[in-house]
Amino acid sequence: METSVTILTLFTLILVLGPSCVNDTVPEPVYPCDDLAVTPNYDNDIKSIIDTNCAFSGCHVSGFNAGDFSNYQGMETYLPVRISEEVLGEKTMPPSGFTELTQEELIVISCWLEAGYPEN
Amino acid sequence: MKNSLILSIIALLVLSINSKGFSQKDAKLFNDRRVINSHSVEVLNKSFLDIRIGHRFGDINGTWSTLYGLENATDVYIGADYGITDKFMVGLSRSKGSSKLRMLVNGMAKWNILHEKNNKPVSLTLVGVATISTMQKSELPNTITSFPAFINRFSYCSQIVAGKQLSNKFALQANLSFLHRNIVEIPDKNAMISTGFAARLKLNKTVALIGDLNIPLSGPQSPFASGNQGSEKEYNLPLGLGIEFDTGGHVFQLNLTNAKGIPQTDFLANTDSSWLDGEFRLGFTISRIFKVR
Repeated sequence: METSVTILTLFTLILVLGPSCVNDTVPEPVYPCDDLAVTPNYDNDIKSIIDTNCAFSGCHVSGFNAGDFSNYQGMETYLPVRISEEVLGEKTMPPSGFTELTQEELIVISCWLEAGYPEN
Repeated sequence: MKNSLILSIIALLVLSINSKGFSQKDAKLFNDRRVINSHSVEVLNKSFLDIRIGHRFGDINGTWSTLYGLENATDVYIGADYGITDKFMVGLSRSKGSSKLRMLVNGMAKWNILHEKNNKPVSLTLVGVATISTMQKSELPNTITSFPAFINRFSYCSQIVAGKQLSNKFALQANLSFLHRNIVEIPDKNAMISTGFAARLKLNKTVALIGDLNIPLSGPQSPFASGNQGSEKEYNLPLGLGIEFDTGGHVFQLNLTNAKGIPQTDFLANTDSSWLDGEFRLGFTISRIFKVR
């Protein structure tokens, strides 16, 4: 009796789980997050990068038609896809002629996005 | 890799050779169903419920700022196992997740086919673990947490575990595992074969020393892979050393391990911490058994 229960349960599990194996892959991340001691957040890690490179007079501040990045709420509309594409992917931001983001800054932004872009 | 596979099969066979000179009166090879990170050959008896809580702190080299890792948690595990028959048990647990896949719900089934206490030459157990990540889907494309299909949230581990009591005080077991993750980052492989060993040395009625080591035999995680197969990620063999207290009602395991995750589906392929760099952590597991009816 007990062996029947075991075999029946195992058979059911195999039927349920057997067809559930797929072999999908994604590319290895360009910016590895494993070396960072803590997960980046907006208040501690991102705001200073944005204030220096994006949210200064004449650019992404209050009144600018392409977004106010001087605070987290202003950036939210552009998170995560626009920031990912334009800053990390196509690198159209910051535009040519402005200071490029360093490799360390790109890693911090990438890992912040990957962690779900926490505010604090 | 082929040699390693043969070696692990030989280890399983060696353990199956009968040895004499110890009492087998209701002998249990291992006191608990786990030996630090590995499943032991033991199962719960019928109608017994095992409430389990496991914790892995942060790296012990974390200095005073994190109280040497004690203020961090790399994994937290809460679960319940139940004996359906004297030889078959199931379990359900939730763990934090130590890799990019978080909020893990783990289902487990374990079948003890042979046991030494029944005058068999070896104890033999099959283990199956299925894990689903319930974390929020990432909007970033081409990331492991973007979960292109729902099925990508799953990973599985099947194991055969063979154990042998070599003396009154010393028990040893070996396992052969097949891990499958439905989504991985290139150049990682979805399927991975690994072997593992665990041991228990009984010091007295209540205290025992325990240890476990797992060795991937395929994929970029394997120490036998040529040139680490192009992976940028570092991988280290999950090694745990600990002490086990049986207080009568509870089994309490205190351990040091470089593995961050607790379920097989998490730590087997994701252990990147190195003992030599101080990247190991304190951990504990508390097990409390109840008789349900």
